[in-house]
Amino acid sequence: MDALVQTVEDVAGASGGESENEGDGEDEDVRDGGDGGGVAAGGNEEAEEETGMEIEYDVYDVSNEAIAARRRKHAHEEATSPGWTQHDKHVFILSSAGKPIYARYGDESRLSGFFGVLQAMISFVDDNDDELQHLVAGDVTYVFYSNGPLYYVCVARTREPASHLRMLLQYVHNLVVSVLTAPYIVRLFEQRPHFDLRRMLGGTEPLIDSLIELMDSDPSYLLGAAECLRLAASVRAAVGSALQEVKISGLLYALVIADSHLVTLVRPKSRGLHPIDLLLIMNFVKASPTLRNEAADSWTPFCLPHFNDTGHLHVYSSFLASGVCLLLISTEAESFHDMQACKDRVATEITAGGHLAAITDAMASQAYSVDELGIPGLLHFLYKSVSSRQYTAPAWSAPYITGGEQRRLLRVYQDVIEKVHTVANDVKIYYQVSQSETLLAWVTSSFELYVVFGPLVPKKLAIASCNKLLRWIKSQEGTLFILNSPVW
Amino acid sequence: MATRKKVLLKVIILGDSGVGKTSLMNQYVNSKFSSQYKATIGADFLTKEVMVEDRLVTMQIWDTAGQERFQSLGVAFYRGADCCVLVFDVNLPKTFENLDSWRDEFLIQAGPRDPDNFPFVVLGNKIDLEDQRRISTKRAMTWCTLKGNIPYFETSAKENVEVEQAFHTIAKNALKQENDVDLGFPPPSAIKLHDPPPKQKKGCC
Repeated sequence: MDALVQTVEDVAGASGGESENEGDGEDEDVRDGGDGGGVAAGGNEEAEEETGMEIEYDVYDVSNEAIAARRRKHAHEEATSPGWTQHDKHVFILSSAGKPIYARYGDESRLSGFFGVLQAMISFVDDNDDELQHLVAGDVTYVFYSNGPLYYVCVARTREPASHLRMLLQYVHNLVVSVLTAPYIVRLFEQRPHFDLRRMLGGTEPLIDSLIELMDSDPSYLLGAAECLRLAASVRAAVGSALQEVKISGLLYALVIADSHLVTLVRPKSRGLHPIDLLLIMNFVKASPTLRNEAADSWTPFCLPHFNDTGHLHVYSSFLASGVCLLLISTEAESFHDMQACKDRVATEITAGGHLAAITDAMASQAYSVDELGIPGLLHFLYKSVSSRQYTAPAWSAPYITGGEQRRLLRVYQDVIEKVHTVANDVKIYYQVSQSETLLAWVTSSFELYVVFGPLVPKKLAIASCNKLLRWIKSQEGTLFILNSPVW
Repeated sequence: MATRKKVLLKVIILGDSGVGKTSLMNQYVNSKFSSQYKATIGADFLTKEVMVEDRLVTMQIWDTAGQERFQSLGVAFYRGADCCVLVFDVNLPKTFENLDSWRDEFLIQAGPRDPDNFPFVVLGNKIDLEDQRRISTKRAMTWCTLKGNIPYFETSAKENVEVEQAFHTIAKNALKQENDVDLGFPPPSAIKLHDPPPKQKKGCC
């Protein structure tokens, strides 16, 4: 194991170095189990007054351009490149033969030796009928997740709990399945274990990059829930019925999203759209290179792993206005032109009714600030409606201006969500005071509320404020959430 | 990943301990030779990029431990290899005689689809010690012919004899195998709505 250990140390050995200004990790939380309130997997983590990272961040940019630029910047790195070991969060995908499939940083071909080491580590433990889950070397955590013939590895110096990094890897796996479907992956490698999967995943790299990036900045993944566009209920309803009317054979879901916010969704009565599937679709719309040119309609085979991981559906997507995307998801591969006709009808109807304009207006002004609520000391909150799997959160405001501060807060949320969902704890109310903030979590069967106040807010006031906050949310419910999702 | 002509080949080097597997690899990848023997424990991994017939090929070379007590990586190690290099020491008959069991071991563990045509390459190493030689070229060639015309090279990792050529052949033959791209079955089809019971979970909205 000389060589193995050697290489592991090479990576870990660079510990204590400065991290550069870029995505260090964040959380995700695949509330996979569904019923009974998803249980966050994994062990509990010690209370983290340490969440304050010693790193200064600039404003965080998750635009496609920023991601692409970063990829280009690091594309030629290999294991011996000086910066390579310094990245905060590496993600690797490899085949069970040890062949590289994806590396977030660097040229995966040139890292093939490192991939070999990862494979050896996994299979060494696997040979003893055991499973390598994670290991810690200095301030670096290695997390492993295998699914069939694919291995996923995260190497992070972000001090996030291994359970969260594992969720990240599961999300990435879901993305891979959304491209190839689960049985196809298995069959490919059954027939040829030496298969180079890069060939089949060509062009998917930006989607994986984007997904990893979003998990560092978007609470949706942490909550396993979607955020709706704040919009007058009447407009939402009108768009919903416009979609409902175009029901044709094979059409399963119809939805409109506005910059990764859900406007509305029409679905079969008995088949909800799983939030993870929805997040995969949103990531696709955001990051797909073919959709970057909003002028074009696209038709893409897409597997929704939580709907059915054995086959593809077909996603028709078309931008109705800048950032406003109509998605029609069909079982029929040949129905592109029918979908186009549907789009024309929907576009005509919601344009004529002024609803499209209402949506674009809402996009410009939708974000509400905590000030609007008039609750003293309130800094930020997340409110998730458990049954509908939707959430709402105010726009970032001081002191969470920089990407680094936002990420720090997300990590505080991550930590608390982990605590309240650990089965052994099963707490309903959780109160935590740190130097920078006071946090109150309140978990019931119908909602989860995580509220952040300034550090000097006493418990009693915090609780009173939460009640006030809930009343405000109730009063705004119709604009913040899809209350009655139309069905067909 | 984009559409690429890049190819990655997994190459496994097998043979008794001390025959010079690591030295050959170091000579090939780093152009270095050390006469000091250091047992490989588990495996070493090296990467080398070469051009083969206008294609950029990355060779992921898995240098294994020859000593039995370190062979703990088992089947996972051989899985998905594109080429297997068998190495012996022309001065030690035992290392030659063991080629059979290395080859068998590989075929059993890796279970390639077409074992008769799986690309092997045999290297008779340490030809620089000419006066001690015990295995003749003819004897080695006979064995290779018998096993399905395996290409045979006589090498010296120390003096860099034939190392480059041997690895070039390794890459070329492995590439031939890898090139056989026809997947033999179609990509997944669309879902027939009423067939598979969907894994229905609580939905969003």
